[in-house]
Amino acid sequence: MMGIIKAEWRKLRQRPAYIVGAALVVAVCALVYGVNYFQFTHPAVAGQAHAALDRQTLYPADFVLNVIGASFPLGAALAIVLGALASGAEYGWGTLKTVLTQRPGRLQALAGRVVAMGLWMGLLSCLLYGAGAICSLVIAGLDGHAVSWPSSLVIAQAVGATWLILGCYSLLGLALGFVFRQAAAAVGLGVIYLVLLQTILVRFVSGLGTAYEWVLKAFDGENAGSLVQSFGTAVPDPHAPPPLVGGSQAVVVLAVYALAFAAIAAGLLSRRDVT
Amino acid sequence: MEPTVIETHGLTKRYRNGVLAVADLDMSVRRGEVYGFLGPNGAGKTTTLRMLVGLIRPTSGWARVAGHAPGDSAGLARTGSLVETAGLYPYLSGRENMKVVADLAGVPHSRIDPVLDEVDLASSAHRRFGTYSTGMKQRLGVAAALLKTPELLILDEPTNGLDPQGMAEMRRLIRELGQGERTVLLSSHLLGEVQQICDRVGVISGGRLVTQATVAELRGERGVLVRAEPIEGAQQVLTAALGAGSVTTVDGTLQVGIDPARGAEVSARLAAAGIAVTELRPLERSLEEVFFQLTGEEQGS
Repeated sequence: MMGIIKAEWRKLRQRPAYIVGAALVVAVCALVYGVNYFQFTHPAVAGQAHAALDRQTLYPADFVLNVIGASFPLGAALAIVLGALASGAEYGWGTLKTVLTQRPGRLQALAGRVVAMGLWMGLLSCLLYGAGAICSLVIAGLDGHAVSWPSSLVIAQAVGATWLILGCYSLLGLALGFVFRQAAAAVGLGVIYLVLLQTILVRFVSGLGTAYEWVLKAFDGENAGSLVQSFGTAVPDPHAPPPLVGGSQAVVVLAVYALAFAAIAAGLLSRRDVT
Repeated sequence: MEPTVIETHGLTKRYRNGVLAVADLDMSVRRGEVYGFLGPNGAGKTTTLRMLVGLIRPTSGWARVAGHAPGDSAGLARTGSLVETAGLYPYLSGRENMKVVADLAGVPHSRIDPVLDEVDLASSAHRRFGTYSTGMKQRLGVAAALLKTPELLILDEPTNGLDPQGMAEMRRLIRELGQGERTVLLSSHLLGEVQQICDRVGVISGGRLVTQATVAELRGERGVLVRAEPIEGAQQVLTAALGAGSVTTVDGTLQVGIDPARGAEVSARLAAAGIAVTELRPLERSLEEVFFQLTGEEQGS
């Protein structure tokens, strides 16, 4: 099994899309911090709304609250793309047959890929928080502000929550890659589901009244959003609705979704012919 | 050790769209031989090979490959395969691709250099696979198949898309690989290639195995060809000796319907009659003729 994980990791860590994805995470984080800092330091240019924001939210004490918002839906969309590429491209390149005609069985090969993908999503999560921490530290240094960090437990929980969200959606992408046996359609449908289809469905179910709130609580997007919200926000919005579900429930629901996506991928890979 | 490395019985594949790709295939490949799997495009060769390596599940029938069911880990550990094109990662170098395959197959990385040397790609191993020529890609595919030091090597149309030089190199490589104890199953629709390389062939057409025999058995020996001067005199002598039905004139030569072992007798009779024999050889059918006869295809079509 270690050999399979090593092989899958070797494929992921050298793949340009994955490297670009990791760079994107760092770049977006730095950009957001940079833009926000510019707005605070140039209120005349940025306008009143931005000037009113609390500059202290950019310091290390609040970096978790600033960063975790990138997990969903932005991070989730990136995870779908990476997951879909991991499975869909194997059909186009004809590499799936190479993988499956070596020693490991189909489910073992998939397990190795899921583990490697999970490791990569963990790396992305660490990169995101690492970049956020460094940016906040730089800004605190620029302002000559004292540095204080959130507790290590909070940081660990936030990294874990982001990893769960990215992991869940990378498995959705992976499963869609196996469904369509190509990357492009899997990426397209996955992202459309995340940003459009689910939104329409949520609005529709919301319109049915409170009797159907349990349906809303089952949507993966609602749970991912609630998990992010459960950590609070750097700048509280009094008009924002409270999280639909608690953080613990969101973790369970997302874990169930992740397992379901992995099971779909396993079912498709083990039953289908590779033509 | 089992005498047969591949054995199938009633192997059948019908796709969901109703297409019967392989029908009731009984095939056996003996240990240590180079077996040619011949058939026109769409005959069912690739489907058969994909069933043998476990990529496609048969609708009915069974197969044993290297002593195991197709796709079984223990069987795959003893089987190297190149099914159609080399399926390797375009963004990885040749060597990194080999590392991926080695890790998947549970083979130490120390096997990589000898295998790259064997296919003459050691100097190009640092280049990205996507930049390789078609011939290099196929050779790296063969290298990947050889990493496990397999006792059975399954090669599906390995010369497809290669230029004449690439084809010649690949033929040389396959010939080398087929020496010793290794069994090679080579699928091809290139008859010259199979005739040059293989010990035994199976011919598949319309999903059915039409015949399975040695190349010599398939080509058969059906007489001797004689080129002599004057040809009319030679015809008279041989007709008188062997009967009118045994001698026919074709394109300025005589085709004599006797056992080729009696060639010396023909030569002696013509010499005794003062006729100069410029050529005398067994008359064999080419594998191409046999193939077209068996598959019902028209030559040159």
